[in-house]
Amino acid sequence: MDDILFSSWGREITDNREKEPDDFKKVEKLSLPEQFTQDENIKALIGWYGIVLRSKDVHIVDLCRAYIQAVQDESCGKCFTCRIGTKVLAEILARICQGKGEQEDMDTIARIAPVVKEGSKCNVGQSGPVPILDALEYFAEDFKKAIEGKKPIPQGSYRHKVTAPCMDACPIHLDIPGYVECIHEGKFNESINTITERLPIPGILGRVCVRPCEEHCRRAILDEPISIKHLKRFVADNNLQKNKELIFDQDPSEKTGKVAIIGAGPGGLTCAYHLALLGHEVTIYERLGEPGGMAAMGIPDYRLPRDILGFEVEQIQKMGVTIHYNTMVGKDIKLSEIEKENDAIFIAIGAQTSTNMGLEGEDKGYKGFIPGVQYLQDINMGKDPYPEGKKVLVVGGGNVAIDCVRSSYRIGKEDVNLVYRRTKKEMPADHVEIQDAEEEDVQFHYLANPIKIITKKGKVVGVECIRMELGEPDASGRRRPVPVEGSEFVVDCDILIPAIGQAIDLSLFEGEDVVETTRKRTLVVDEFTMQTNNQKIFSAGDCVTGPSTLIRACAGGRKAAINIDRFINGKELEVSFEDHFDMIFREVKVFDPEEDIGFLGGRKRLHLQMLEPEERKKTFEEVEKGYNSIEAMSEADRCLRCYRIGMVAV
Amino acid sequence: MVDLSIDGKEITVEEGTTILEAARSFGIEIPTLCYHKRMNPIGSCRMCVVEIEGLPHPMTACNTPVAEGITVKTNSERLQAMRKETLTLLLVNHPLDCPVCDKGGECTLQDLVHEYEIEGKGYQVEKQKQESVYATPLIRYWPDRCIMCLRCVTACREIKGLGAIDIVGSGFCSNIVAVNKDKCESCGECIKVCPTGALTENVSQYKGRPWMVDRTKTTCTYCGCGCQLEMNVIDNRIIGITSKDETGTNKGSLCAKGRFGYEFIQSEERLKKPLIKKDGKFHEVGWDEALNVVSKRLSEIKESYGADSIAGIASARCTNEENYLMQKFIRAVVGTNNIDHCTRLSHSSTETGLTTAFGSGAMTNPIADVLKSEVILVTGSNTSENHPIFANYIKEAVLKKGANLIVIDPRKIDLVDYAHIWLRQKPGTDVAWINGLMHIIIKENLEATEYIQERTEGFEELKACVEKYTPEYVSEITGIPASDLRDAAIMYGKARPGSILYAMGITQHITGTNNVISLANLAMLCGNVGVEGGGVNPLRGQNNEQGACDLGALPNVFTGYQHVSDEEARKKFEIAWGVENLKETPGITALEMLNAAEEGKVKAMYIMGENPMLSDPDGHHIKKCIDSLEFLVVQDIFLTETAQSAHVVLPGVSFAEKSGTFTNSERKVQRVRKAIEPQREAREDCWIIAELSKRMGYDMDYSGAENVMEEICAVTPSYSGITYKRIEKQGIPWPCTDADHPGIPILHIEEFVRGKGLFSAIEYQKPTELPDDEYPFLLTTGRVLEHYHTGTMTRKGKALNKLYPELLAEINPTDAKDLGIGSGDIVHITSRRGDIKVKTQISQRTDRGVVFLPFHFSESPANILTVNAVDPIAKIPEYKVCAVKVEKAG
Repeated sequence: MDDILFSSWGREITDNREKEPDDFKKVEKLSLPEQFTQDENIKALIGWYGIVLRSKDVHIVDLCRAYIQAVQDESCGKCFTCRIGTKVLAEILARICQGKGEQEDMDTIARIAPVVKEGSKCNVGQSGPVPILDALEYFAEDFKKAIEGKKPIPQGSYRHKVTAPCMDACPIHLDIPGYVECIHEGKFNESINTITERLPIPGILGRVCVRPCEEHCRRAILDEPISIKHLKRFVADNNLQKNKELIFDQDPSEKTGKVAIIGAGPGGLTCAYHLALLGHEVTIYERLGEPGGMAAMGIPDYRLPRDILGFEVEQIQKMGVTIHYNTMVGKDIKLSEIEKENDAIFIAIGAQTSTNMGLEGEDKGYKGFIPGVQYLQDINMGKDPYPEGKKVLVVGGGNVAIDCVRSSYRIGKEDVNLVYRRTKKEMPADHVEIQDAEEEDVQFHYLANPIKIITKKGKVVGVECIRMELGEPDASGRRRPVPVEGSEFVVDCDILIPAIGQAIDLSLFEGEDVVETTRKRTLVVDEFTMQTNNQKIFSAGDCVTGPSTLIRACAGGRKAAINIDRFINGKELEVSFEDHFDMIFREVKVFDPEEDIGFLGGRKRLHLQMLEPEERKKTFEEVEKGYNSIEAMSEADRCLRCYRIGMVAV
Repeated sequence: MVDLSIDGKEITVEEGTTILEAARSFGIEIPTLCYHKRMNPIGSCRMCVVEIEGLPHPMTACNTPVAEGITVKTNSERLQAMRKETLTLLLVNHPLDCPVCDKGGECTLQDLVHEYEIEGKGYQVEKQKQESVYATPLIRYWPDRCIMCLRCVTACREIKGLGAIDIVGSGFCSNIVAVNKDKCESCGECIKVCPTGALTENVSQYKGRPWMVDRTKTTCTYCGCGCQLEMNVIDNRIIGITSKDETGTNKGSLCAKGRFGYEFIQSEERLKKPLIKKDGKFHEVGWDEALNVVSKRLSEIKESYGADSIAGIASARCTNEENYLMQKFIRAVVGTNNIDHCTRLSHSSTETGLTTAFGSGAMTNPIADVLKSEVILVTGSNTSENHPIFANYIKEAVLKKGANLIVIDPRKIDLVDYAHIWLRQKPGTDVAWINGLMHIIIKENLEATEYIQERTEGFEELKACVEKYTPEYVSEITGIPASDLRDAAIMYGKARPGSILYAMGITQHITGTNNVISLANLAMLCGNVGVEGGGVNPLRGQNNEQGACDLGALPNVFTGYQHVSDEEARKKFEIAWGVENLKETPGITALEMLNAAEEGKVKAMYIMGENPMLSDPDGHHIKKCIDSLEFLVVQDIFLTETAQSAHVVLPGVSFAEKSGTFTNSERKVQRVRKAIEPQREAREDCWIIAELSKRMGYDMDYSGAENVMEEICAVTPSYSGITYKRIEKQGIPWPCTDADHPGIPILHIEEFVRGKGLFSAIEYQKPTELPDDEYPFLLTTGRVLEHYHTGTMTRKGKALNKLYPELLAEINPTDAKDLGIGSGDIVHITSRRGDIKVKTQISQRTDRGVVFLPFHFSESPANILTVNAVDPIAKIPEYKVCAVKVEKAG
């Protein structure tokens, strides 16, 4: 960045205050958006990692005052230093800003701030004084002037938000430190309530989330990340066992309406839940005979038992949400009919078909050729997709591919193989899952790609593959696999399962241009409001993003619900406060993997008990056993509670 | 093990130890305000910061586990400065009002401020007026003094498992608030752990500085938990109750009764002088006159009708020494075995049942053992109301040790909130579900085969008997869904060790003995008796119920369960007491005495510290029996309903005014110490009995309670090693057979007292009186947390009455709707034996078709309604089941 007057962000000190704009030193590691909202320019940033000053309009002392007051407001009160220390600091700074500063005030700040920083229990107090101390060091003259001037300083305009590395990484921004702390304190009900403020299906995500949060867990720098996913599962299971139901406080909007949702997957369910909380009448149309979408059909029972899913969907239904099963929109009911009868529509149909491999004969209906999603769906409905087949070859490296191989042994297949064109390192599937599959004896063939289906009398008997090597990186940053000439080889198999990706079935539109779609057959929506070019239709999840994660679909569903509610109430749809901060946080990065935390580590995460590979590969019983309350409380105790506050001057 | 260095000392501690624990175990003191041994580290005060070499940040010692090879500094200049600054900050919202603060002189904050030489003028901030309303009226909250260390919040959540209070708000405005006010049990755990004067007792009108107060350590007078507490006395006046962390089973915890229920001791209503009834009215008389009348009348009746026309009732509330003397008086001076006490009404079926199965009727394991249990089965015990301190342990086992909890109770009691499985049986169907559990355990091959073979007998008969108790059959009888029963059986059957706790919900039935035997069967089936964390544990209802039994206040045994028919035992007592011809036939039981009075067989009764008019079933009948007596002498501290019918009333003293011992439910013999002088002309019960005895020609010459205990030891093998000196600091669980014997916390370890554990085949049998068209409701009785027994103590002060002022009959919402009753409406409850008028409380705790009635209230005595049917072996009445009708009062 080259328009910065001063920055101490991330300990990289850049001071251009005495320089002409043309001579400004660039701030290397930082990028900061120009604007907060359309009408508000970002004049300064102050937060856990220092101060960034862009405009001379900002008075540093007032900026510090506003920030430490925000820290005090957000302090949980659970430790002495943060609770009282930031209060004392806030009052001193407020006094200086009123023109009532005293000579010793700077010394007092310099004495208290380090104690708050070093003595506080969590990152609110630990990071709160950081920019104040920077200001004292680099803006001492401004403070002196303010104190000696004895004149009030005009108050600036500021916006602030609490975040945490894990919260920021979570697409739906669950208050992870909050619910983890509740677990540590044994307040399991409060914990589940914190989660369900945003996410209605914690039992599902607590089992199958790809957990971007854990990748951004500061504890990982010390030893290992907090087991956030398993903790979520624990409170969800505990709730299921103890309460037998979730009770949600419904708080109807001023105006309520009728909303149709297409697809009872994670996105549709989350949207339905939030709409129901706001009192809207929601009807879901689901093409299959049960809820869950890909969560039910694409994820085998050994990872996500069906009763968990059933329980959570039941809670949403209890709020008054109707689900019509076995109803395919476009076939059993027309979209236009639905549109007529409802005030808004949310399309969350996911990416429910498999991508073609581009091999000859793929569409010929050979026996033994079963697309991955279809294969899993059959198994999940209790069928063996092709009982005669015993030797399985799955193509692909994502979670669907892994689910296919792991399920295969469980329905009695004898020999299970996986072919992937890159190496294990590049595999997009969850690495824990890959390891589980290896333990269960799945044979992995890396750096290989199928080039021809071999058949006999209309049945698959094998696949010809070619060896690959890794070349230059592609757009995704991964090295592109290139075939090695003359390295063809044949793998015998009687079931061939392509699982290289999923595609979106847009047949609900019956060929009409109801909404704008892309070349990849995804729906085009506004990134903040989830509205399509048809005002009444909103969409989110895989059918918008392309095949992605469950939690991302849930986040989309929630966002859509908020905007559908605004739409029904005749309010203008707008970028939310949270979205504005998301944009800032995305740039300034809430998580710094290089950070020197300076605490004692060495406290490893508590691993779950699992069924033994030999036992588990024969059954669809859930593999992971889940924490008991004691384990959960102890694991939760590892959390560093990395709440931090970011503030901009506008 | 982990090696580390703290302040230059090389030490080795167990993995998982915190730096604070490690330091303290090696005598290195690190200051703390929020840390409390019994709770998980809170980490709020930041006083315990330490430096670890190589790390830029100081860390709090209380919640940082040790790591291999670290070098810790606990007292550097940097740390000193940090602590000093933290304390200075703390004084921002803590006034230096030490001169007027109750806690001044024993305040941790005060001590630290002194140690770190903090001066009064620190930082100033604008303060906000804070609400001072607290979760309970018995405690005063001083928000200004509260340093928000969160000990109170944590104790409420972790020790009590309640979470009634929590921190609310943010930053400087955060505050301690009663977030779940209805959960507050007024136990005062929060006061106990508060390091400053932010929480103070709000009961006593009298206050005093800590150094003016005499603190007498003694044993609580309420339930069988046997909590250790300190009576705080100034000028012979009790101004409060405190407790110490490390003493007794309660570890400093008390319940609302223990901590706040002391007003009765110095109540104006206490009996001041002996009373003699003349012309239907009581007249105050001197001791000489009263004792002379009593001794004369008893002697005359003995002379005219024989010794067996006299009967005595001893007391589970009196000391061991008093009970010993009472039974000695009845046996040696009067010459009859007609001595009993209220255990007849609560746990006589435990004595008969467990003695049959194991050879001893006492609690097999100490309560703290549940912390080692994998599974805990609680049945017929509303533990959190009746044995609150034992309930703490159950909750701790579940919340902190991960034990599974099965609650089997017709009422949705508070423990259900902590249970993994709750089964709601129809009252009176216990044998059926217990047999059902055993049926499933055997079918699933979960029984302890080796244990059964080596340590028990009678298994085949049991097996054959439970064969027909299939889950479906049991479900039909009990109303428990078959699948839930199966889950419970598997949970209890699979986890070892498993502990069973029960109380009156099991014992007070005509099948009480059978119920108890069945529980013993179940425990033995899984090899859970004689093991740590296992056992069959009857929770005794009264402070000294165990002791009164131990000391021979029963018609069939001398002290230590030495049977009166045992000639050797009789000889021993004849020699010890210097008498001849002690009776070899057992006397009659409590209820039989009253029936015999009605029949004219018993002419005189001497009742010490009991109130059968209110506590015994079928109250109208009881009154008739008592009125039939020619002579009744009642010795009590209040003019109870029973005392009002007496011819002579002798004022005894409360536990605060005498010395002696109580034996708690865990068989632990503990000291009772005199904290104040007797009120007015009341006299210690020992003295009264001895004086009567002397007047009837038998000298009882004791120098004091300790002297009585020496005699008890000499004649009682299980108590023979117990001396006051040995139990000065902490109690000893009997059997304690010689002066060096440490006592036995767990019974039946290698061998059952009777040799082999005996399985008995028990069939289900219906209760005497079940609802019918005329009396469609099932009445079940019990206690509430705030009151005790017939209310003679708990209703004599303001504190507990504030919490639970009047009797409330619990009725299920659906029934209430059918009857057109709202909460607070008055109803008539009628049984075949009488009727009462009572206010209702609509509550989900009680099942449809059931009415629950506490029995503490003389104005609406529940026992007017109960049935006079008894267990044929234990003679315990069936308090828990009778048929009634409920009608809205017009």
